Amino acid sequence: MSSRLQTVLAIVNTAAIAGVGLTLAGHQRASDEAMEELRAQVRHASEGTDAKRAAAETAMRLWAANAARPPTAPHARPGAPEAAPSGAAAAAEDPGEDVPPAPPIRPPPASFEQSRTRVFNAFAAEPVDGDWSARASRTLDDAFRAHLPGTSRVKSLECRATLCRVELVHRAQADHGAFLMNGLRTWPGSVFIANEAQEGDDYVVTLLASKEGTNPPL
Amino acid sequence: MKRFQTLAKVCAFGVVALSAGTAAAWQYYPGIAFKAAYASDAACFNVHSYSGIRNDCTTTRLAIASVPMWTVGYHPTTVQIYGNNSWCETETVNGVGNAGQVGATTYTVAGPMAWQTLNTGDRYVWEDFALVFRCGLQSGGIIGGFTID
Repeated sequence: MSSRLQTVLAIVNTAAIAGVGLTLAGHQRASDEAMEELRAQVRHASEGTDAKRAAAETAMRLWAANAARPPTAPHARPGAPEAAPSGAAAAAEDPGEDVPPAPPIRPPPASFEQSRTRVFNAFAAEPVDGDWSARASRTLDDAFRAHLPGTSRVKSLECRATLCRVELVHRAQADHGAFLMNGLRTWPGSVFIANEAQEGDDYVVTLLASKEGTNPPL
Repeated sequence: MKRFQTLAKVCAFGVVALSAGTAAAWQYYPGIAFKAAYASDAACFNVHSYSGIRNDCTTTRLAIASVPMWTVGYHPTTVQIYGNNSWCETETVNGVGNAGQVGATTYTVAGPMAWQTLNTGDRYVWEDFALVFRCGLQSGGIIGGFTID
């Protein structure tokens, strides 16, 4: 092969290598630009997704919390105020197209103290049913006479339309427990033990006895 | 991918929440969940068939069962019982063993010994309260089971 041909081939070869290198460099630049654009898109999408994820997690927490709660008690006051929606709940109201809507917020379940207040208020608001209150008072009085320990006494007894309020005074807490186990078996309804308190030497118990077939507004 | 993960989390929460709600809705316990209220009566109670509990003593004895509760509110209760002179009642009890609400005593119907379902009433359960079933089970009487809704 002549040296001239070798020179031409070397030039062509060098030119080809240089062309490939330039092409690769161009592709790299294009890839970098595409990558940068992709990163920008991902950053933008992440901002939206983070907000959606936060809303979704809030919704899930509310959902789980409400699902674990029972339906409102059958005797809950119909006019009971609803809890005001919190900021987190408000954020969960528009969580995005792939997140289920947050359930309505239910009021927290009644505590024992709230139940006591409700029943006391219900008793105070009741009119007196003369017929029932007389019979109910007699039934309770008979039960107390038959089963109260000698050291215990009835401090007060008042019946109205569906509830009787009784205050019993015992010498000791054990007397109350023993009486409650067996002493009210003749009473045909349920009995709510609203309060037990040591007052000096006395152990005072407040009971709300309900009419047969009714449930107190606990 | 994140969307998929979020959707998966939502589905998982939903399944758990719905399962919990269903489980809390209704509970059945066999009679053998009862035990003698007093140690001296322990020998009176024996298993009947697979899961009932029977009083084999000659007089009425007190049997008792307790159930922890997870949902606040009213819960209807029943007892399936074989007898003609037995009684049951339910109570809501608190952490120190005191009653919050005592149900009325429900008696079996007189007549021949028969299986009956006693409506032991609706008991209100607060947080940190449990339900107690108490039955005065006559000689030869059997508690087959009890339910809480």
